Amino acid sequence: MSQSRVRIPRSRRIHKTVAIAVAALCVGISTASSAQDASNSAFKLTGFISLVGGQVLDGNLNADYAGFDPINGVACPCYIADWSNAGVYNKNFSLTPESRAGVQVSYALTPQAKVVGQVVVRGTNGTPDITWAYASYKLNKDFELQVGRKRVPLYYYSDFQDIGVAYPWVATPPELYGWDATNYNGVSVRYGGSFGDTNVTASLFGGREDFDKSLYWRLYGLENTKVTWKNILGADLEVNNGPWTIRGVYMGADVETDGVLAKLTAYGLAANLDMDTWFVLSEVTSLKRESAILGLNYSAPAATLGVGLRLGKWTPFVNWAQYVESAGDAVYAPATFRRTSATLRYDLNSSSALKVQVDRHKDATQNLGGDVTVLRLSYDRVF
Amino acid sequence: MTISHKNIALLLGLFALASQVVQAQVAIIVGPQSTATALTQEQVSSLFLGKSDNLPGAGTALLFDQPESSAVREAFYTKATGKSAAQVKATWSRLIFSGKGNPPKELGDSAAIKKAVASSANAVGYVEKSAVDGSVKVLLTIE
Repeated sequence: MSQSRVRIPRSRRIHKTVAIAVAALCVGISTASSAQDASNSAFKLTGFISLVGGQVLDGNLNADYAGFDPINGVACPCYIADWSNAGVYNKNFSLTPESRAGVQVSYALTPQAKVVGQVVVRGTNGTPDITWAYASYKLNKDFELQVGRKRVPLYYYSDFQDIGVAYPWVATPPELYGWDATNYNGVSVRYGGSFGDTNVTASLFGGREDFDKSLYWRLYGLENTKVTWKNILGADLEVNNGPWTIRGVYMGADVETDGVLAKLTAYGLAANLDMDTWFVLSEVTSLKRESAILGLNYSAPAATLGVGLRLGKWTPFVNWAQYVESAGDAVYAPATFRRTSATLRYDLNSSSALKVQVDRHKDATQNLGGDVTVLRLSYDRVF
Repeated sequence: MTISHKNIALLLGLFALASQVVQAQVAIIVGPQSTATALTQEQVSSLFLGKSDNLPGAGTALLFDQPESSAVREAFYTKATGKSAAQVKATWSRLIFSGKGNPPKELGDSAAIKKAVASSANAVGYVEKSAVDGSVKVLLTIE
């Protein structure tokens, strides 16, 4: 297990190959059928692919480094790019930590009711992952009820975190986007309305998520950790007016990790300004986990701020992000890291883009991979 | 000689500019029986970027798009939303992959769009201003 290349067993790799072949076939089918046929039918097939390759250019583990090495089988200094799926880069160029492909089907049963399913395969996980599977019903002009499996909408980009063409970075900032659970099974009610030029969407959501082999906990050296997020209950509100979009979210859940209970509480605020030729993306979250059993009590505020320019097909973007843990106990060694990044995106056409990104990551507490400079390239496409 | 060449070039340039301006006028249209009320540019932008699905006075909007490569589509999105084709696609991708919106249906040409909006009370589309005729009602003209 010390080498990253042997992480995915052969049988899983075959599964992955099959799944990617199915995805490729679907691209062919959807491209072959004319746009008109597709738009007139109640059945819609869409998909996305993101090929991301990267490596640590330069890294350093201080003499007082107190973290794991390797992390999830990857020798450090290393960079944890995707916490939820345990995607880690080091000095060897790799496509596995963040590459992914997905297919979504939606079928309109009536003008009010539809069913939606989405399956994603990842370099880090050969087993196709069902990220969405829900039925929705439009109650009236403003309200919609959704039942089934969805993304936990903890952050502004959570719902479309896998869709690379939808954002200027190579990946959403891992300082925020990256917990053990990303999806849940449950119910949500969504509101969408307009007041003059102001658009408002809001939702109320609740449910739970269970999985036996958490990828997230592999980053902490635990192979088969069983995680349950119970009693997920949350609400979000997004307001858009002209160039401004502001979103607030609250969520609570009872998180059970290998039988140990903790109460999770999170608040988030995102503010985006889009002036067409330039734009600002910002998001802050405050997240707490408290466990009476362990005497564990830590809070993890995180923030990201980025500014980009739109120069025709080119979008240069700079970003700063940080994650600061503090623990009110001796059980847990808190982690703090900061990162600055520069990304250049080039739109190949309306549905695909190339990006190159350099990250300078500072592991301030020297316990999660060390200080690293990372180079990543990506090709993102939707179809 | 050089002066007249310059003049010709200038004239051609002006002509090209004038014809571009004429071409760039885009009319936002609904059917003659539609109860939709006048739209602001901001509301048109919200509808075609999926920020709102409410067509004021007519309920949930049914949107129609021109073909992806057409000049009128580019002119419409540039002027009404300030976004490039790639940005528009990126915006809709967010909504499509999170099940939050139905993107505009793409039709073959202005004649097809006029026919489609004329046959549905909550439909809205856009055509070159020169393509407007009695079969449709104009809610907004974007210069």
